[in-house]
Amino acid sequence: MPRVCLNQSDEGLRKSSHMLTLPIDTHLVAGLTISVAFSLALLTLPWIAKTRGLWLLSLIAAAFYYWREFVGFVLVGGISFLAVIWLSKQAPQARRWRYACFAMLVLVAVFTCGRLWHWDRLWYFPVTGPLALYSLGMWPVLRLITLFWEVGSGSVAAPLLSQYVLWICLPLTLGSPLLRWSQMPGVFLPKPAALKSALWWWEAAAASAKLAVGVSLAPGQALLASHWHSHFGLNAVATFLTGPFGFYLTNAGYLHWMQLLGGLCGINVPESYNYPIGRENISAFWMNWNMTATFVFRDYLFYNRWGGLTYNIYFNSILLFTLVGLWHAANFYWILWGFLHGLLFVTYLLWRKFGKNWSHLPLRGTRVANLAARLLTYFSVCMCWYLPSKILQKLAAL
Amino acid sequence: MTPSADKSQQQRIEEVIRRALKTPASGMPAPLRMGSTPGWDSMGHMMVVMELEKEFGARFPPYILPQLVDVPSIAKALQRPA
Repeated sequence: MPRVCLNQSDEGLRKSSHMLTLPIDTHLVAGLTISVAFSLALLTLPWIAKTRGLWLLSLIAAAFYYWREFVGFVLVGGISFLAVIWLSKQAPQARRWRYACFAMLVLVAVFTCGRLWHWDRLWYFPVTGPLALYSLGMWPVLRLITLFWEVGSGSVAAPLLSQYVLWICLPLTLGSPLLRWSQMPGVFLPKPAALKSALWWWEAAAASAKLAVGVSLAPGQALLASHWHSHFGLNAVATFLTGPFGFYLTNAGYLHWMQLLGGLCGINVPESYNYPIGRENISAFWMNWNMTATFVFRDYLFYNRWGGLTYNIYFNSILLFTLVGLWHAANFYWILWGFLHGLLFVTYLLWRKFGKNWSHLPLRGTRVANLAARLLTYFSVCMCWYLPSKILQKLAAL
Repeated sequence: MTPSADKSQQQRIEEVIRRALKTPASGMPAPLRMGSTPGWDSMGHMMVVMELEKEFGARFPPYILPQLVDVPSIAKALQRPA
């Protein structure tokens, strides 16, 4: 499998190795550090929340987070803001929505081409040194799409510049999770009293434990990855245990921390993971895995009739998951990963529709069948990580 | 809309949801809501939408569909100008 980074940086995803490895991404460390610093500043200097200091603080945080990509991030964000403002002035509603759809398609095309042709490569400038003049990561692109969708549909008004800067630069959501513009609070009311609550510290301990266990699995996974050709057992451990759990726990711990820090800052950061491992079917797995992103894909693609009167749930499932794969990285591994998830989902839909005819199957509805369903779901999800690299290897060998 | 007409529409919407989800009135907890009503999940949602459009002769734009999560939100969407 290709290397899977823990955060939005997809550089590792472009390089093909053979197993799910878990490097400690610099964006993860930077995101956590910046978010803690931002929250502390807001708690110790609450007047910042009432002034322009808040968006200035967020802008500085984003500059540290993106570093050499910051200029590109500002340029892409600036052009998108101008487009949103222009869009919000269009009337009537039907025309605004058509333009919003066009803007979203352009954004997706730019995002994909940018990844294919590495538009984010560094340019050298005599005074500043190397800088990227383009940056559009997987979370910013999703955030901008939701903004075009919401403004285009007329459900929200276009943000002011200061609100927009705060929204796209908010440290708690820079690398994920997704906070839609409509979910952004108008006023930030820091809640330092939460620190006196035992529940907050209990949750902080849980988030830290998830993060610690997830991160500590990384060296083991790297070791297994280096020996994976030689031993079936090591391969199985890496595919079904250290890889998936390391990835899940690291992300879940990080995003749990974002929620806790958001609570202190007076921002309701939506939940991202709700114990997805061990769910009874693939639908339940996705309903609880990376939820902020999953719900956007569901709302925008699954509930879509593409202009027709009826809809095709199977086509939408395949398309949705293939695009989720493409969102992770523009390479065949991730496209295949998404396609396999789409097939899994279609299989589940067919089972749901026709499975009632097989009510005579032994053990149907028993605890044993329930346990088997949970194991099968987990096995299938792991195989979707594992199989694409094997398929691509076989194809390359032809 | 008068209160009686409002109530009538609400009842029609509830009937349509039950019909779409193929569940008898006695088998559904009130109030009807996506996520908590049996069968009204991501897959059942589009069945509800199609049945509503058929019943009320409406056509919901794509950006409305995720918002149709309960009877009041459906009633509100039905009152929107086409």
